[in-house]
Amino acid sequence: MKIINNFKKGQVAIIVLLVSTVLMTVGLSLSKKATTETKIDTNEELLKKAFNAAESGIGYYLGTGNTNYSAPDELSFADITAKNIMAEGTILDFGEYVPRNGTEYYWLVNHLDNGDIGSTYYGALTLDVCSAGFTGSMEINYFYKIGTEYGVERYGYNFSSDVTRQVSGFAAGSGDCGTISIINSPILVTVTPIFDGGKFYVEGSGTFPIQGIEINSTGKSGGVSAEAEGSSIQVNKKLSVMRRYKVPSFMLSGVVSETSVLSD
Amino acid sequence: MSCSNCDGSDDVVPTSAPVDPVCSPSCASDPCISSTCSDAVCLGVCGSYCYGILSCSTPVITGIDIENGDGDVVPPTTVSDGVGGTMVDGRNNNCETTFYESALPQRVGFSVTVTDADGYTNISTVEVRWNGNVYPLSLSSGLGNTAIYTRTVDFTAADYTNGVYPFEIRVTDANARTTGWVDSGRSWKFWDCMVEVNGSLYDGSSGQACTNVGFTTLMDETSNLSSLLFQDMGASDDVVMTVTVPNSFGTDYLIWGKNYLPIFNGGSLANPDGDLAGTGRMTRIVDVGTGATSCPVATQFNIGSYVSPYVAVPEAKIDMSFVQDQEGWFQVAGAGVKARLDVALGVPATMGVTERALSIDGLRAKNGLVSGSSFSNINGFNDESIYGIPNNWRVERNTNDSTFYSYQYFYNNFLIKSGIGITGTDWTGHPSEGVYFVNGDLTIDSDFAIAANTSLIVVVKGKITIDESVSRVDGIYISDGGIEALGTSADQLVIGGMLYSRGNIRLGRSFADPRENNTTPPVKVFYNSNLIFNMPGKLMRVLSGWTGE
Repeated sequence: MKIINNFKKGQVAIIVLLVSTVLMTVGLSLSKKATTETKIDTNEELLKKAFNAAESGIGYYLGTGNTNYSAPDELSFADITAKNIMAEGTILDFGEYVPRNGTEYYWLVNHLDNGDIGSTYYGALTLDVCSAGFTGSMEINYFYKIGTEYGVERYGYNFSSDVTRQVSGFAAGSGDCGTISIINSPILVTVTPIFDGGKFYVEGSGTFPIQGIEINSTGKSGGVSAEAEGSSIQVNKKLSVMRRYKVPSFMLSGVVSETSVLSD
Repeated sequence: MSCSNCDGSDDVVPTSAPVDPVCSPSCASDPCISSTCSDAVCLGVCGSYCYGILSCSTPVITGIDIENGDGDVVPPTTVSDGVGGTMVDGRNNNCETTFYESALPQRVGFSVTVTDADGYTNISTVEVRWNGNVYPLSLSSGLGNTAIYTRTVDFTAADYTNGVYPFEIRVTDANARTTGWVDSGRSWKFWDCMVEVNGSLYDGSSGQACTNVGFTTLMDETSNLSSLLFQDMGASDDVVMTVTVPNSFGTDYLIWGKNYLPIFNGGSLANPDGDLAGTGRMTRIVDVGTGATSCPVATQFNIGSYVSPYVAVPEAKIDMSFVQDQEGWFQVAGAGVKARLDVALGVPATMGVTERALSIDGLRAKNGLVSGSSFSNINGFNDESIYGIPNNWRVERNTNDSTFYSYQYFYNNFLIKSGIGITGTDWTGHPSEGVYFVNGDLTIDSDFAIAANTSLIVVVKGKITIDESVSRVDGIYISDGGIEALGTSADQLVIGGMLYSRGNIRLGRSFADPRENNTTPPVKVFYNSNLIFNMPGKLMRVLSGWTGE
């Protein structure tokens, strides 16, 4: 009888053990899932904080010149670096694609800190405006200063042999470049591609002034403070902005309408 | 019908026809008269001999075809029947295209169809007579009672005539029965095709309508008339007219039936008025011979459609009326013009050639590109040269940036974010420099000249209207709802700066004396790059914006 009882007790124990195992497995699984979701939520929140910190860091740098930013809650930070946008040797290339009818701006005079135009000019006699393999047309404006007045010379080059993709009256482009003559004190060269977009650069033997600044801000959130909450996760978000002086493109022409220009 | 000889047999020739002396036929005493045809001719009776004739039928003319030098049948001309239809006129002349452009322009072919009840072989001669000349035809084909006789006639200058003469036909058979000369219903004029032409040029500035309105006041000495070419649109028979400055031409000669385009002052097909000081040509043609007056719809016309060739001396008076007073228009100095859609310029032909363009050089500013999806000239001068001097740059497509600037854009960036600019509701509140915002329409009703080394940007949410009283306004003008300078003024409107709008820009102001529009743009925009670079650095920094990645 005792043997039987012991046998029954053994069965119960096994059943209890199996049930416990199943319950524990389910419980652990749910627990892990909850932990993971918590981590994801935490990461997204940290990412937002890092992004905000990076963005605020740029504004902080522009306002103060300081390169270390700390958010008011002191849970996120940003490290900021800034570097000048300038030519490499004789070539000034922003490395960006300019869409059709967009405009690229190449300054041939420096800007003062307050945004005013300085007095350090690009010093060569000519400047080439280039784009490798470009098959559209280039509308180029060259602004200069003479005395206290400003003036503009205008150039046009066709790089396609297809007359349906040419601006009537533009000169034929030679190779990949169009050349402009530097007269008076050079201020600005603008390039507007027509028919096609492209990547443009200017090349010349003069010294190109600084075109602006590139500000890199790495926002950070989590880390030490997060560890205090039991996590060692730190999320970084890097933002890079380029600040270059530009002019609204309609100011390069005399009369511009987004619909029609009429004489009646 | 059959006739018999006296012996009762047909077609027996008498054997004893007297020949010497020739006897006088006397059918009246012929014993067999009763058995001959009623119209029989007693051919050979002297004494006891006589005979009648076998064939009694007279030939009949059943048709005539006129052919050109290529052998193509030329149908009879038709004329209006006066009630909306046409009727056969039957006249032809050698200057009709079908003759003039054939391989042998002076050749006319005749094809006459005749019948004879006695069989086509009984027909002996078929003749055509025109203006006293008789042209025998030859048998071409025959079958049964029908025959076709043909021939060609090569007319020469000796045949020129001022008159229109019928083609007459005479058919005679072997029995001497004849149709006599019969009018075929077709007539013919053979001439030199020269239409005497002269004409006058009129000032139709006060209105034009066919046939008299706009044809009363002759163009004056400002017409700039220097030459007139009637260009032959089908070949190379151009005619250089003798012009008499300032308003008449001729007498010269055009070729009847040809298409001509009158081209003035070295113009072209695209610009036939050349630099004549007038546009909106209306042509009136007076057929001096008939007195009919017509106005061709198109600039080119076929002189043959307006001058009858059948009068003794075809002559035309070709008058042309022009609008000498040009509509208001605008010009940009030192920059280009860009529209996403249409550019309706108004550069007139009357403008001096050195500045006869939409975009010209300005002060320290070269002229620029003109672009738009389509172009037209409200003053009708569509010469290719009118877009720019010295850079005649034009592209028929949109070259505007993809960015649409707006009041809200500048308001947010300048005023809200950077505290730059002031707001106002009318022109009296505008600053002398800086940025001025108007959240509505703005009427500029007084002059404004900007001071040196300053800049003004006016941003308007509605429409900018420049009043007729304004003659000078400087600055960069931006509007969401269009910019207008219309009406009339004694003074030119000078805009020193730039104009930008999301809506239409209409610069159609005219001088009060519209004749001034001929030689001076009533609205002139002087591009001024000082306005860009004289902007405060802070403004420039805001304008520059940011790019991020």
